[in-house]
Amino acid sequence: MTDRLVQTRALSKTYATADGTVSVLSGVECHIDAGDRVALIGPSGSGKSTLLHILAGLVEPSQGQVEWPALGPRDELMPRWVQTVFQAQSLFAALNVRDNIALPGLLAGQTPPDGLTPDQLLATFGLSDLALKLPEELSGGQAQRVAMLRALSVGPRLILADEPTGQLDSQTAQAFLTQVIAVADGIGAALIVATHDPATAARMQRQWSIDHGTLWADTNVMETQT
Amino acid sequence: MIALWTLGLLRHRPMRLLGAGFGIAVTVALLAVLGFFLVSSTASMTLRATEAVPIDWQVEAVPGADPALIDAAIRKASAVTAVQKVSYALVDGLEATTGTTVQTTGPGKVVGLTADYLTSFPKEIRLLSGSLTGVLIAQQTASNLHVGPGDAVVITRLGLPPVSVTVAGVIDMPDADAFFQGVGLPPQAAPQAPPDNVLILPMADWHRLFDGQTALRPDSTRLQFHIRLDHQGLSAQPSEAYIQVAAKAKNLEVQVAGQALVSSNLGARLDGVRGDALYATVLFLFLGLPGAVLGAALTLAITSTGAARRRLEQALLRVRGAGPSRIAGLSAAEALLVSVGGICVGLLGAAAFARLGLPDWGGTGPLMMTAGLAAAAGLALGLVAVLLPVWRQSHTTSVAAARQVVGRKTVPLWQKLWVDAILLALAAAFFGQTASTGYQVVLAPEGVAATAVDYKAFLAPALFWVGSALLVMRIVGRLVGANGAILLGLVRPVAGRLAPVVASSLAAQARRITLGVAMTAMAVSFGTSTAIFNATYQAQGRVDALLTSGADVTVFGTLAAPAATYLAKLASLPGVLAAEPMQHRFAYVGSDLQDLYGINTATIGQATALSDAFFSGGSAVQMMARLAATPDGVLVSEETVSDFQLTQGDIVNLRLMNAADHQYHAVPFKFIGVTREFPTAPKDSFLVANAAYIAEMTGNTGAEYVLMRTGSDPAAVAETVRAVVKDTPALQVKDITHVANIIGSSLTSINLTGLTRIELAFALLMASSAAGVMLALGFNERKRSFAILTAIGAKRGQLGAFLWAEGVMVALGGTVFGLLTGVSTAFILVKLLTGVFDPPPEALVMPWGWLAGFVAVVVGSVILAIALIQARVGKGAIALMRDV
Repeated sequence: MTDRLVQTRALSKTYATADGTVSVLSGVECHIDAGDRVALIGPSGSGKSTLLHILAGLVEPSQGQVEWPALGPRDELMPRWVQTVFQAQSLFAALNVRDNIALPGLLAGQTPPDGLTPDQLLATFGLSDLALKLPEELSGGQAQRVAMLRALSVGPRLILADEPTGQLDSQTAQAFLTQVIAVADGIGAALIVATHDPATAARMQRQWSIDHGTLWADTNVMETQT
Repeated sequence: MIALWTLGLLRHRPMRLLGAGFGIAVTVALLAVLGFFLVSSTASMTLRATEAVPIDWQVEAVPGADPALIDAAIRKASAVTAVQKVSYALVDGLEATTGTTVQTTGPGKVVGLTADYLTSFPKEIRLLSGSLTGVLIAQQTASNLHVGPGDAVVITRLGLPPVSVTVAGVIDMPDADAFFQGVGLPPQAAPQAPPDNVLILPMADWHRLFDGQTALRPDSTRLQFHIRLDHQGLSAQPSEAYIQVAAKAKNLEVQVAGQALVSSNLGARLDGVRGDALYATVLFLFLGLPGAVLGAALTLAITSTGAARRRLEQALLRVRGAGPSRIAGLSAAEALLVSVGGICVGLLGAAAFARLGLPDWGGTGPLMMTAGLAAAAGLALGLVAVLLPVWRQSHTTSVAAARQVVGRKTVPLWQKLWVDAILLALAAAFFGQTASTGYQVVLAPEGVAATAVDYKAFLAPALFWVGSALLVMRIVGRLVGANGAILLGLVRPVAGRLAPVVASSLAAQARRITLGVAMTAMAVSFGTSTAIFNATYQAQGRVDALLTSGADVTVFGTLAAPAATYLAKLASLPGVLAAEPMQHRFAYVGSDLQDLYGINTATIGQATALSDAFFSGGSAVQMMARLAATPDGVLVSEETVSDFQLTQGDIVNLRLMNAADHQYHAVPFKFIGVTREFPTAPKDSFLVANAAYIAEMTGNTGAEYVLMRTGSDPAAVAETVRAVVKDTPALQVKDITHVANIIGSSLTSINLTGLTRIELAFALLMASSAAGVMLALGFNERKRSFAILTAIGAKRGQLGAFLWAEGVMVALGGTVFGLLTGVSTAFILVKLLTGVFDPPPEALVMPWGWLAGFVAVVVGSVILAIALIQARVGKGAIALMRDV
């Protein structure tokens, strides 16, 4: 079984707007293997979110190719193999926190893996007191963390997180990230995090820099450090 | 700022504007159309009433009065289009000789008419045979004397020797009751039966024969003026028209006091129609207003589907420093936008609908006023729907609370106070109170100008409607909010393994779903109750028309010209399913001449419908069986039973004319039951017996009437029948369609079909809006939630589980509760509006087609709403997620 989760070739994405066509991504070549830890860094509007959505199979590229050799066809990626944590509030408003976390598992039709049941995850992350709350009763930071727990709950092989700690203070963010990496290690999931935060980026093995739609570096930080 | 905001709304929130505008348009259109209906129907009632009166006024000169003075007074009291003098003379009897037998009658009346009388009052006389020029004889008199055109009749004058005249024609007098009425009798006096024996002479002949009798016995002759008023300037409203006519009649009475007596037939007719007009108003209120209230509630509910987003927008505005007045100003702009749009569309729709449904509306003025009132209501509704929540929010809600989409469940105050149960109990109490008065909702005492409607009667259905709506909300709220086994069971068929989480999602939105179910239920209830009321009313209208016409098509003949001679030909005509002969004779009960119907109990039901309401003390089937088992049995009308103090089993001797000697002879009958009504029979006194017994005892097997059931359009069959019997002018053909159109004694004269057509069309529109539009708008407002589901991997079917579960709740709850409350409301309406029905219905008539239509519309609109939202969410989940 191959370890190549995602592979892109000459990937481009353009959007039609009232002012004409806007190019968001241009000639992106990248790949993600099992267990990868990747930080996607770049200024606002550089194309980070769009790239994550294409890698998740949520958005189709305008040109080029994206493939998931180890995961199968695009229609079968979610919810079992790929989970996305969105930058905007993405919890289902009519379900409480526990049900929100359980949702991907239910959609996938699978029993949660050991340690990944909603209550276990909430306990692991110290958020048990949120279990019965509705999303609208959470702070922005709490909602972000619950969204991450929801992504982890199905035991995916690839997690794509867009600014998952953007609304947390740096101390809480680092502690949270440590727990996320630990759980991801436990299930063998690759983790791609789009971030502005150098501290968060530093926790990843590799860094991808993106600006004006061009992915111009692919550095293995851990290898460099060693 | 306001322009920028409004432009933004038009660009980015078109669904929200369209939804609110749609609700306002529906409400405005319904109010306007109902107003048009009321104006049009009361105007047409007045028109029909005035056209139906053959002689507007009858003024009788007292003996010795100066006719010229009376004539002048009449023309001064009111503008008139015709004034004709009519002379009446009482005679001892009439006599005719046929071969060797001599027939004589009891006292009768001889009338003198001017040559142009029939030009002024053409409805008074209908020629059956012979010519209208010369001496005319009433058909019953001709039958009694066994004479026809060319025969001689001897008049036995009072105090003068008998005189012989030659009959020129045999006539029918359709308006004999009014023609021979006692002029100047008090309103409460019992109506005077027309004379059994009538002869009409040209005025010159009358004077030649009766001037002498007038000189000898002035009390035995009378001079009347028959008057047709100029109806120009008469109000279109029956109550006002009645007051106008009554005032003119009183003015005339004052002018001719001591000289003449006045009888206002037009006033009496308008007096009766006033009650019908009030019933029209009552029907408008009972059937129409709930629709308008529902339209307003629907608008508020539709507006509430965007409440979360609206709250969020306002919270953002407040955070950025906008004060309450600025927010109110922006919302007022939105309110004006949706109101003006809704009003324009509503009024255009109403005008188009009214053009189709109400071709004869009553003038432009009242219509413009109606349209203005509907527009004002629409504007008020728009302001309330949009501004009230803003005002409440700006005064009571924090910014944080304003961002809530779902909200924690709280028990509303009305539930804590059991307002629903209290309202239903009060409805029962008021219904009981109205029932105890015999459902006297409209009071229009004869002869009294003042009329009254017992508006308390409205409380029962109104309280029931609101109470049942709240009860539905309580039940659905509990059922959904509890998230228990019932909800799970309802959701599982469409949600499968997602059922628990879908049920939880529904439970969290119990308030919104409850509102959707309640609105759908009320719309279905409104449509159901209207459809059932309409079906019951139409069925009773048919029974009423059947009573008058006898059957789908009836040929009315006389003893001399029985219709049954054509029976074989009529039975074989295309479109005739059954043809049944029925005898119509006259029988003396004591000195009272009554209609006697001879029937074949085994076959009468093949040609006409006998309702249980026609009989007292047994069903139609039982009474026919009783009559069949008693060959000499007779069913007697309630009035005769009361007048003659009859007891069942009594032998009643009726005097019937025998064919052999044309004389009346006593025939014993056994009184076996009471009949209230019978096809073709008058409303007061009549008798029903076995045709075979009557034929045997009178020596005459002929049957004067033929009743026919048709399988195709009765009017078309009647035309064919007329062609068949055209050689016998005495035969008259009536069909149920024609009769239903001209019955003016009850509310059939109101365009109820128009009202219910309006109601049912709007009910369908509102049922689909309540279910489909509310769901679609609710989904549209929550499309981000569905986009999230898609983004975390929900497949199309799984997304559908959430949508379908909500759709099932709304469609199932809405139709089940709607049908239940609709049937109950219809029962209350039919009971309260008993006065509308003649005869009262035995049971509700269920219009299954309409009810199935309502269910189909609700289900169809739900399916459409879900399909639309599924297509929308599936196309761009990520884009939708960005759309906050």
